[in-house]
Amino acid sequence: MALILRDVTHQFGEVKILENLDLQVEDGCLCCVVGPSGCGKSTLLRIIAGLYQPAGGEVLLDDAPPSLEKGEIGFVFQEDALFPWYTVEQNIKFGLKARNVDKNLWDEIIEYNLRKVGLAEYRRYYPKQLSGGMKQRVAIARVLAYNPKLLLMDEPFASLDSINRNMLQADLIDLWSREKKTVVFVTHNIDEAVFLAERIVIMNSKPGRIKRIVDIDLPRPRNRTDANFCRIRRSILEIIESPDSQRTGPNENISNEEVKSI
Amino acid sequence: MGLFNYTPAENLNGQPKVNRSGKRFGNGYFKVLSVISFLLGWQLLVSFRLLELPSPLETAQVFVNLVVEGDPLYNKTLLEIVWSSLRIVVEACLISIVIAVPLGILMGAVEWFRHYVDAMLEMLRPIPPLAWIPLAYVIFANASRPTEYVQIFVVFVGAFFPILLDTIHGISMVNRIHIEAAQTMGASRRQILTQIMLPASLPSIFNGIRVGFGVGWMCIVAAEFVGGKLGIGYYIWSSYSVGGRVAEIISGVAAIGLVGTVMNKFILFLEKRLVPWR
Ligand SMILES: Nc1ncnc2c1ncn2[C@@H]1O[C@H](COP(=O)(O)OP(=O)(O)OP(=O)(O)O)[C@@H](O)[C@H]1O
Ligand SMILES: [Mg+2]
Repeated sequence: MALILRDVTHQFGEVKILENLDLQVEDGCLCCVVGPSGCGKSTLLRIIAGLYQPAGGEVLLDDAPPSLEKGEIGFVFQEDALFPWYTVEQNIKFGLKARNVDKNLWDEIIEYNLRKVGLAEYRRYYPKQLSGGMKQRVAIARVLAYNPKLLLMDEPFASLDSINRNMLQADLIDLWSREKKTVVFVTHNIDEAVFLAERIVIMNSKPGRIKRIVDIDLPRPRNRTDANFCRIRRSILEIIESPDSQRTGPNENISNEEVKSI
Repeated sequence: MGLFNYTPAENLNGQPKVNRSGKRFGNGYFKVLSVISFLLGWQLLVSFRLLELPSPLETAQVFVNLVVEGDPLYNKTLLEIVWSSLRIVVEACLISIVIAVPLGILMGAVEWFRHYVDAMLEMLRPIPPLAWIPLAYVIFANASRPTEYVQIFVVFVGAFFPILLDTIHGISMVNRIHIEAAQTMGASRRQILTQIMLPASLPSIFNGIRVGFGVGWMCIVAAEFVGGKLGIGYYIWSSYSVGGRVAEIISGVAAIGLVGTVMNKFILFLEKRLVPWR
């Protein structure tokens, strides 16, 4: 699903949160958003999902404004969003029911997706019986189960240990390259962004603007210890730490070749 | 054992080895002690003729007799008497639940509806349930069993507001993130209402029901003072009117307390069963 933001602006009361965001994410692109805490990343995802109406500008998902009823969106929230009154299994069922997925397939889908996040034995557990990281993995399984066209993920792996995080990152890449879903992935972790993204959107704070958009051309599978990987990571860090330059020019493209010159 | 010679926390390896408050005894010990001192105090007051009451033992005998044999004056056992009050409370509270819970959910979920109903309810809420009794007798004068209707109505009013307010409170406390999660999955308004908002506010609703039953139980006793055939409130009031039946009065009061406690515990038990995720 292609995503277009045109001049999107948002404010809560008098406080400007997002200003003049222009962004294009093609169908099947994995786009990471990085930026300082409080710059409006979660707000941006909520606007894309159609949970918030932007104060200005427009959002287009495949040329139509976002509409919640269609259920085309899988949103993995930064906060714990599992329903505590449902078991793991029932949480996933809720999404399947809301999406009118054929009842006969539920059992298989639940099993498959829980297995994928390594929690098949926890089907009948209540969220309160799970750790923070396990809950987040269930939340991911719940979203993947109904097979949305656009995945919005808000720091989904932030509460995981590095082993689980790396594993799920690899799984996400796996899923994404198999099914070519469009993904917008918010993270604080530059390493994660460089590992996952085809495109990294770097945001500024107060008000939130897009500081730079960088395309990552590293071949996959990517290796975190690879020299090019490290160079790109460093240059992203430099962009983040550089003083505001108010430029929102054309997309930067850090390819293997160019990296060497940075 | 001095006042200050307790084991310092750092010597306990993180695990308190003795019960701080009781040393060798558990908390159950204090519960028993509490009952014993109450009975002892009662006995002393009677022994020194400070109060003209039957002793605890005499009262207990009357109580057991009332439960087993019944009261010859009324030809009913204490259990039957309690049950006729309890039946009214259960009926009235069920009506309260059926009306207050959906109303509360609607008020919590639909803003204009809340403002619309609020103005009406804010006028009615401060009125003590018992103040409705005379008017209720007028309203139900032509009903088949006016007294019973009045009692049901009074208990209904008493239980209604705690249940309604806690339902509204429960709905207003629903975590926004849960609603957003359901919305992004494409859930309908009805699904969000019944599968998100209702279960999320169930603990609060149960709290309201518990309080509602408690208030209802108080209301029935008072309502029976004014009129009625055979309930526990009527029983203690008429025992007083007859005169000299202090043990019976105390037995009746004790029964009211016991039933209230059991009712509370029972609803807590139900809540544990129906809200297993807490
Ligand atoms: N519902 C709201 N009402 C008012 N202000 C809000 C609301 N939600 C967010 N904000 C404000 O908007 C700003 C951006 O919030 P947002 O949650 O989008 O940041 P973020 O980039 O996701 O931060 P983090 O990385 O810490 O999650 C913050 O300053 C926050 O105070
Ligand atoms: Mg955020």
